[in-house]
Amino acid sequence: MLLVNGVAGNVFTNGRLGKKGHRAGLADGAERLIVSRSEMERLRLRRKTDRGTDIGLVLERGTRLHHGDILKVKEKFIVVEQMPEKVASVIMEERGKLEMVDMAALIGYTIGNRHRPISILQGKISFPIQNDSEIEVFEKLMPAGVRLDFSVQVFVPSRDVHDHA
Amino acid sequence: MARRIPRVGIGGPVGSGKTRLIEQLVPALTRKGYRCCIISNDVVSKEDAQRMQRILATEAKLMPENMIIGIATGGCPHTAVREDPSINLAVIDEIEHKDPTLDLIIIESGGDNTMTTFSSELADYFIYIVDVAGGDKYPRKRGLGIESCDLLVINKIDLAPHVGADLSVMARDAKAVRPGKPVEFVNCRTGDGVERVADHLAEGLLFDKPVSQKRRKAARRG
Repeated sequence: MLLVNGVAGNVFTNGRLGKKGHRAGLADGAERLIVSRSEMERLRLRRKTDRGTDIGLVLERGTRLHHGDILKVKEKFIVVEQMPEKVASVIMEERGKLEMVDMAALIGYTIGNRHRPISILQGKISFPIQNDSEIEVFEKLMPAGVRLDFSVQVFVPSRDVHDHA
Repeated sequence: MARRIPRVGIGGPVGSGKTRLIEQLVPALTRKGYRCCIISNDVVSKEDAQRMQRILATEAKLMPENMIIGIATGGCPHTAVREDPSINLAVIDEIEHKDPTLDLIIIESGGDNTMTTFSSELADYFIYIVDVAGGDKYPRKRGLGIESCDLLVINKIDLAPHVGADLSVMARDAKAVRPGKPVEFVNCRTGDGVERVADHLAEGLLFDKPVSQKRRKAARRG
């Protein structure tokens, strides 16, 4: 087992290591530790990489993994990859200001009652779907003038919240 | 800041055998040389914590009584381990200052059927326990607890023939909804299978804490 106590950088944000990451080819070349969104929040985790390296991760309090992190190990270049998941994006029709406020409040109420994390990026609200069977419920509960688009992607919450349906 | 002690969350429906599992697991972990502490969450009662104090502290003398702490959450217990774990985190903080040499903190919480999960701030490893009396449909009905836990434990296997539960169906469905993740069949009344649960904890959570032979021998001598 390779004991890992930290990260050395991130291929998306760290110039030098990022270049190394891109040279290694994040998508198809580098050795990858693939973990779920909830596992990314853990401080202690034991998993195998896609090439079978046994990793024991023990991180300091107050830290957490991010998509693209490079594990602090001497012998290898291992990149953390968050598993993609099904995500619903909320598409709101353009309406009057007060109607838009009502819509936004009802959208927040519907998603919040199911304790889902959300991402708000340039006015676009997204949240993860745990199972296809719940799509019908979300579509029925959303207010008029709102539709949902679905895609599979790496979901990064705007703020860390727990999951609960 | 005190050293962070590894934590396991044990969740599952009322009556599934969470407390029984801990009563069997602590001796198994002690035989391996690990020293544990227990936090038991319940709505209004501290009955489970008091029972564990009697069985594990007073009778078996495996740990001091003050290392088994009951929390009456005043609301759904799962709330105190997920939505707002602050009371559990406060108790853990006290424990970490009181005895930083402990190897493991076990956090028990019931309720919420198949949706129980633990905040990642609170637990590093998550065991979800169900029992066969709930029916062999349990694993395939899914739910966040069953799907996302690190180890699924299916208890009361001795009752399977009496309640018409097919263990092979439960094993097949658990594999289908939790690809690549382990499931263990146990009888927490007799302790059958609990040693394997302790092995999973040693491998998946306590992987950087090799216990010395001296401590292991001392634990066996009692």
